[in-house]
Amino acid sequence: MSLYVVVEGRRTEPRLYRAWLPLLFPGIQEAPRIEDAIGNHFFLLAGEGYPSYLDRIRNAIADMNLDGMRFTHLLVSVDAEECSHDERLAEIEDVMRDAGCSVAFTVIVANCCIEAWLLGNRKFVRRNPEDEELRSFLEHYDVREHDPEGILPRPTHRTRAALCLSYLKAAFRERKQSYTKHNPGPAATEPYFFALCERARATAQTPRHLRSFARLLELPGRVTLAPLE
Amino acid sequence: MSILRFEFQDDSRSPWHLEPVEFSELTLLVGISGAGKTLTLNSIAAVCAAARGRNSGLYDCRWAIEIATDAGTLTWRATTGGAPPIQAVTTRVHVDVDDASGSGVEFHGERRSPPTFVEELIQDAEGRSLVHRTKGEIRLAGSDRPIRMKDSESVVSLLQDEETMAPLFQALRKVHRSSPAQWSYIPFDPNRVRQLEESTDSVEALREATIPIGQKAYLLQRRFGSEFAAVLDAYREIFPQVREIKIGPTSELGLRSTEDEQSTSYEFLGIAIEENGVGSAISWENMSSGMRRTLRHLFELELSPRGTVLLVDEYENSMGVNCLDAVTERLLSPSRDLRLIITSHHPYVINNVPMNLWRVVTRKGSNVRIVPASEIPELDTRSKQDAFIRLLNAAEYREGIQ
Repeated sequence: MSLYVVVEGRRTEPRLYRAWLPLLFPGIQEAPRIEDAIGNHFFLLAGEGYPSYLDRIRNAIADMNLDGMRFTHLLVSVDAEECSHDERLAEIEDVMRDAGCSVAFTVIVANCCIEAWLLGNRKFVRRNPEDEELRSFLEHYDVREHDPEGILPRPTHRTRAALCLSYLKAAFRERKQSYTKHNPGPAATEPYFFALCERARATAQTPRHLRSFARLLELPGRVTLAPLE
Repeated sequence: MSILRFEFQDDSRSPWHLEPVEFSELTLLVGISGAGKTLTLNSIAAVCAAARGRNSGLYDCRWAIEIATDAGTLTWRATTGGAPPIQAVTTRVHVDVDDASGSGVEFHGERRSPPTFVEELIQDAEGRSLVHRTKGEIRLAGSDRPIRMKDSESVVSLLQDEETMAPLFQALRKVHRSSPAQWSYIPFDPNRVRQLEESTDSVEALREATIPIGQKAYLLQRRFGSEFAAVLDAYREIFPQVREIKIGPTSELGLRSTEDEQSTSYEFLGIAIEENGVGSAISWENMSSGMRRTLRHLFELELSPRGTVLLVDEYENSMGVNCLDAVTERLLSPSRDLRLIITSHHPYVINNVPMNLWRVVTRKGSNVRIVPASEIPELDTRSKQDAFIRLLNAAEYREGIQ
């Protein structure tokens, strides 16, 4: 039994999820077609953004209903963007209910986008950068100290998601690396992912951050993958 | 006629290679931007220009094109030589009959001689050589004596009147690249129009005429009212606000300014539409690009000669949702013997063309590969996701350039 995954966009999310899912489910492999998902597989589909991904979700449910035993779980991962987390979650759950989703599912709504999650790597975002723009972002909202998911809007950027993207690019630039939506580079590596996991765990010294990302970490406890009988 | 197979190699300063690709009656080329779709269409168009005796600009190239002609399947292979140096040219044009000095106006430009044909081979379906050009000599099947002809023109063009070559020439002549350029500055010569009117006694004869499509549209309007009305009806179905399409000399359409009238003695054909509720005619230049494109395609579908292969690059460009579905429907079900090779990125187009007609274009370095959708494993599935979405998620498409 396998996992059906619908993610927000075509560029960043598929690359990150292809890198992250094997870290959450050791041994899991990607199935190029639904028919190839014969257990401990994931089938991943880019949602092509909002609202296009709502159709992808409806059709994913139709796919899962084709053969009830093939997929155990539907994972939907999208961005809240300028909506509230709860508003976007309710909209997707409505779509799933209307489409007659009978399998277990997890909807993760990134607050406000996947770049906000990636800003959660404390080790990566330098405290005292040389890059002027990064310094100005840190002065506006220090993602090392405060939860990146709560980033405040800034007049220089029309949306919080656009601000997160510029912020992340500046953090990469400071390290002489580049981040693009198409090529997230080190953000798709194991150490980077584990740094985000660490940030998402509350400790005595640090409050719990990246709550929407933490939903992803709960997934192995909710999903059982096994060979198809 | 149809293009069955095409292979192309460019060894010039921007070398690239197109692996052999097979086409169907309708071929939809899909692939990410930069994969080589437009390059493929350009190469086909340039090869066909070379067949017509035009300067194709194909230096240091090799190709093989297999064509279904009225005389069976023929394959034309050719190799061209390198580019000669650019020459400076000066052209003197006499534009004004009242020019007292008679000196006219000088235009300075650059010109490169057409490519030389180093080797050419035309074979029939059984692989028998019909014409072979090599080492400056042309040998025709059945003739012992080689002939020498200028090497700046293809044998397809040079021997277009030969019985064995005519079908190939006629077939390659009918490959038409849809281009907006053919709809601007269409020369209008009243004497030529009179001749054409006398010689075209049927719509089929008009379709076969070797004149720009805009001129054909003008003659259709003058001579064949019911066929012209059918185009107008199709156009009005998409744009109900349109009352009339008018094609004629710009002076008759009232599209020339007084200044133009005084300064020039030559004449162009103009196209204009009249809309309900709009006082004056809307000229081609002032029409929306979507309306222009729609009208262009409707006339191309109506006026292309039988057996035409129409090359259309990203035909959805400029077209809004109100015209895209209707034009797609017409492109997909041409009532006459037309072949289409089109490229598209648009979900509507891709979802509406059967998957067996898709060819997925990928590029590895300078090597372009075009494969049928049936060779993409991700597309062979029962999934309820849209065909376009499955395509976007297929590794072959996603990683279309390496």
